Parts: sequence; C-alpha cells; structure tokens
Amino acid sequence: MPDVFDSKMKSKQKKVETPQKNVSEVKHEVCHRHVDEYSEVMRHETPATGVLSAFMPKPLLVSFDNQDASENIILVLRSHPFTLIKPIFITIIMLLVPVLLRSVGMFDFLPSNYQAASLILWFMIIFGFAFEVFLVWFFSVYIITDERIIDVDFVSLIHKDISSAKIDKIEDVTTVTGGALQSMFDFGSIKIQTAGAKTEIVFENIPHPSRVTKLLNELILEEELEKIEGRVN
Amino acid sequence: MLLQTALSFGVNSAGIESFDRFLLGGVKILFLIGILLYLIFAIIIVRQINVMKKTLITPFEPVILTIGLTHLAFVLIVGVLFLLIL
Repeated sequence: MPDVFDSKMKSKQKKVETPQKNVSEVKHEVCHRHVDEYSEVMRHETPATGVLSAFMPKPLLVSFDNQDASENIILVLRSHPFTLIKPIFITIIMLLVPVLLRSVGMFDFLPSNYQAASLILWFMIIFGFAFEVFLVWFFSVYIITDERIIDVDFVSLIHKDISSAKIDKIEDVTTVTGGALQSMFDFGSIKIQTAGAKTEIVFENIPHPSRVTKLLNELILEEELEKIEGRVN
Repeated sequence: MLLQTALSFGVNSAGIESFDRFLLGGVKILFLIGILLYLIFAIIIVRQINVMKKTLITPFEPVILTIGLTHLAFVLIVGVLFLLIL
C-alpha cells in the first residue's frame, strides 16, 4: 500500500515537520524595546528606588503576582497623597476627642480602671482606622507594564478587585482633572476604555495624569509598531 | 458610686451598690465585646496583608506585616488586661 494511504505514516511525518512550541519558547520570541527607546515621557524619568511614592517610574524594587518574565513594569501609580488629607484630619479630630471629654468631665462617673480601659480602646480604634487607611492607599495601585495595565483596588479590608487589560485592547483614554486643588497639585483621574470584559478601567486621583495619558498613547503606538514589524507572535 | 449621686434619695446604700455592680458588669461585658470585635479586625488586617503582599511585591511588605503582627499581639495583651483589671 502506498504511503499516501497510510494514515499512521502521515501523522508521524507531520509530527516531525511541525514540532510543537511550548509556552516559554513563544514568550521568548516576544521582543520588547526598552521603554526609553520609544517613550518621551519615560526617557526623562529616573528609576524609582522607593516604594512609598505615588508616582514610581521604572521601579526597581516592585513586582507583582502573575508578572511574566518578559514583562517590564513601566510605571506604578497610587492615589495622590493629597487624597489622604481627609482621613488624616479625621484622625486628628479623633485624637482630640478624649481631651475634650475629659475637660467636661464626661467619664468622671466611671471608676479609674474603666476610664483607662476606655482610653486604651479608643486609641486602638484610632490606630486601627489610620492603619487601614494606609493599607488601602498602599495596596491600591495602578500598574502600567509594556504589555498591559493593571488596576488593583483594595477597596476595604475584606474586598479587593483586580482588573487588567492588554495595551492593544485600549480604545480610548480620557483625562479628567477638575477643581482648584487637582489643578494646583497636578492630580486627576484617567478613564481607559477597553475592548475587554471590563470595558472601563479608572485610575483615580493619580499624580501627573497628562503625563500618564501621554505614556499610554506612546505604549499603544509601540504595540501597533510591534505588530507591524512582526516582533510579537 | 455610679448612680450614688443621682439616686441617693430614698434608696438604701446596699441596693445602690448592687445596682452599681450590675451596671459595671454590663459595661465590662461591653468592653469585652468591643475588644473581641477589635481582635477580629486585627486578625483580618494580618490576613489581608498576607494576601496583598503576594499581589504587590515590594521590600516594604515585611515592615507592614511586622506592624500588623505587633498590632495583633498588642490587642491580645489588652484583651487579657481587660479581663484582669475590669
């Protein structure tokens, strides 16, 4: 029987001709240029060495869960520190409450051990409030890599929301800066329309929104260029 | 002591003292419930730090985790203290 009618033979030949590439091999073929080569915004930024800033370009000490080996973090953003003014103010007011109550003798009817216990409990509540505000601020980050954008919303201690979108899925970027304070301290929000499951990702109250918008536009262009030049599989 | 000034007219001292003890017992229970709820809050904080430090990896996470654990230990000590002094 000629080989052409032998299905086993054909499948063997096929296997030899087209060896399957595994995922890691495919990833290595993605060739990214360094962000400084194509981004006007990032070229002038020095890599961030700290981790407590709200605007961290090319961070050296930050990485995230599910980060690919070939994926580079370009920018990490948090809400502008000015957004923490309100909770700081509330904390100060809360700290003053025992002083005010003591001055009017409101807890004088209680024995001294109960007064001390109420004071300890109150200061613990204040610390808990301030610590929670800090944790929500610290862990709610917006990450821009050369592949995608990631929005990590640490809404409260029991609720977090992580959404991401590929750069090539971004359809529209809108900057919203309103009010005297936002203009004065250069912070605002960016609304990113995507073609993914979550149609809009919002970077809220981030510093330098116009710079971030420009960077996103540069990344979109670079992604298109990668496709044209065949640098992406 | 608690209601002595308010109810001192026409009520004998033994009755007032027992009512005092009853009221303070209620306040003590409220304090213990408060510290128990706060303990749950402190445990959730540590749990969340553990979860989030895997999401965002920075060298600052051990510091935050240490603060969270110290906070939890402090709450436990205060809880025991409340049981002893109240």
